[in-house]
Amino acid sequence: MQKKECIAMLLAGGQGTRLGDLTSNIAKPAVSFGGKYRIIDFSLSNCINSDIDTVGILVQYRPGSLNQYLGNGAAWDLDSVDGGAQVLSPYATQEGGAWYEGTADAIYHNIGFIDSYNPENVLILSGDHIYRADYAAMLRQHQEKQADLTVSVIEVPWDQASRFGIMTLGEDDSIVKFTEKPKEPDSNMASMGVYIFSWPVLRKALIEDNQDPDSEKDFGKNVIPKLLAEGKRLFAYHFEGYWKDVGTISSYYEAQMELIDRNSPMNIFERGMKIFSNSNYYAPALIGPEAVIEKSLVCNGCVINGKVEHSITASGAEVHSGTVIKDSILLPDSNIGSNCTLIRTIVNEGVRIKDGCTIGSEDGEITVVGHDIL
Amino acid sequence: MKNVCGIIFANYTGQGFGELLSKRTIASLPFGGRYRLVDFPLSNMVNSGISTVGLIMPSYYRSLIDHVGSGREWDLDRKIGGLFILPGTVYGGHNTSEAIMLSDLLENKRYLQRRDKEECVLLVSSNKVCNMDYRPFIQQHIKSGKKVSVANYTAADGTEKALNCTIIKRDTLIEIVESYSSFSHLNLVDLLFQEIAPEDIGTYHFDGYVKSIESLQDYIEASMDLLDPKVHFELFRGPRTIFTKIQDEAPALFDDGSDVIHSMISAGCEIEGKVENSILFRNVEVGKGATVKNCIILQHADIKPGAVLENVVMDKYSVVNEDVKLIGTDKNPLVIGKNKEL
Repeated sequence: MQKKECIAMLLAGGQGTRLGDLTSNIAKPAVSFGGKYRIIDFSLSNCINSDIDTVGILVQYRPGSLNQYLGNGAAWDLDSVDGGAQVLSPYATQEGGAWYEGTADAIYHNIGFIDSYNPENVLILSGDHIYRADYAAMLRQHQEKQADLTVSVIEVPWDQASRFGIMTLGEDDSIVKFTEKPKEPDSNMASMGVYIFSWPVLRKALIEDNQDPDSEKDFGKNVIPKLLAEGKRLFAYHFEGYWKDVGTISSYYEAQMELIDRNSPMNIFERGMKIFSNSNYYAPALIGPEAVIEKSLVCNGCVINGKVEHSITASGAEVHSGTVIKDSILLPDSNIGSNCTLIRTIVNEGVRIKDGCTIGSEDGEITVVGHDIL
Repeated sequence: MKNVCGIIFANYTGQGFGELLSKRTIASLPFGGRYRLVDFPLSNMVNSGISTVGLIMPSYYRSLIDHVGSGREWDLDRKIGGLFILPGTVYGGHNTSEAIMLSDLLENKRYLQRRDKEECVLLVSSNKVCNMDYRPFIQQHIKSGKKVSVANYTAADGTEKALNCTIIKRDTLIEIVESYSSFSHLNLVDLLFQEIAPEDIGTYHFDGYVKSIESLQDYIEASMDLLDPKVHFELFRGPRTIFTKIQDEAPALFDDGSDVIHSMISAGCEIEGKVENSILFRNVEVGKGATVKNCIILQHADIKPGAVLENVVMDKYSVVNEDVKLIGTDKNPLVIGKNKEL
């Protein structure tokens, strides 16, 4: 097989604790987003849209639903003969087995997988970000600068800089300092957790990091500072555009609401770089005689006979007559009975709500309905 | 159902469909917002456990080949069996009747001869909208020991009609095809009733929804039937999925000014106008103040602000400019061909 210019390793093992009920049974990257998508669709689509045809997907927390969703990767055009999408779970060896301890540890345990493709570079991605990116442009810069590591950075408001891993840059965009969540940031260039490493450099660093008993085996905390200390060539790649980490219920909710706008910075209607998903077997939506739908995203498979106002109804969701869904998100295959009122509410996948329920309020926290109300 | 192989006759067109069938056969007629008619027999085969399916191609095969590809979407890209693209015979242009021509089978005798493991062949036409489990039909046939069985259904007017869904022993079929090789213009089903003693022919009644698409009126009626929840749920929300070619469109956007009732709306649509009693295929745009009523609008149509469409069937990629009015009637719907600008 030919040598690969770049393969991707996608970290999809996170639990997403702050998403509460939404991740009680499934991994965060498998959580529904924007009606017909799941969070991981964005990173996977970015890969194939950037000509990256080999993606190792590192799973750990509740991988069942994610494995099922990914299948052979065909939905993202990642069912290639040489490469494609491959799920990598923690495994046992003759020396025993262990869970992945940190982001770098997860990659360390899959050195063999990466070696088998003999790539020049490895793109490290996080499976829980919403954005559209051209990794090919980032790779070109990485090659032009002859970098050992290129970190994708985004400008964030100064008052939020202390929530991120912050890069201090030299004039040529070289990284001179990296600080994880600084109290007093001296830069507002935040790492997006998207890295391109030259594979030989990363390979050596991972092996050394693994032998360091004090290391937390994390890219941000250990590997990058180590390479910086060794004087390796580290550069920032300036990402421009929409990027969001949907870690909390409120950011998960807000990011989806932004999609209900054809001028949204995260434009899912743009036909140039499609976001692919594995949810395309539903019939078109059936809109009933009593339906009223205003400013909403309605997916295939929906059956709507109530009022849907500024909301998202995901694939297969049903809204019965007399019901009002306002500023809410119905996740796939949920079913809302007659004469209900839902305001600022997220209804989990497959959840059924009986007739006549009133849930949520105009102000205050977003309500999440995690289980059936029957 | 590994002992059954299927053949779908996708090589005939229809009359009176206007420009809708000028470059495609009935099998590739777009239907129900995202499907083509061939999706029904293909999905029914697969959902009944039949994983060896021959598709007899029309002379205008572009749209059909583009749609079925390797058969992946129907899970028919198999090492064992799978989808077989079979050439159809052409008689100086289009074959307009639903007949299962003997010549088409003769041309593909090798497909039949090489299926040693398959005891029976299921022959299906491609203009029937139904979500049918062929297994009870096949089981009844095998149990009965008859040479041939045909399936019937009760049409909307109460008459008993042929579903053009026939199961026959493979050996019997090969025998007939060979013995009539010089009379290839015959319809197989007619021949079966001549050749095989009545006591050797079984019948099966399918009592689900069936609509046979033989005219533009049938096509419109079948489309509007999909707005009836009973039909919609039977066809699309039961245990047997109707598969089709996937296009990965974004969810439909019901934007400011949208007023949609009693309609089927596909992914990728962007609606700012009024839509009533209509079927919108993928990526249809309905501009501000536009009205679409009793219409079937195929994919990528662009209906600009203020336009009014009533009783219109509009093919793909057509554009209706601002404030243009296109009014057909119930009896005389307007049919607008592909890539038109009005």
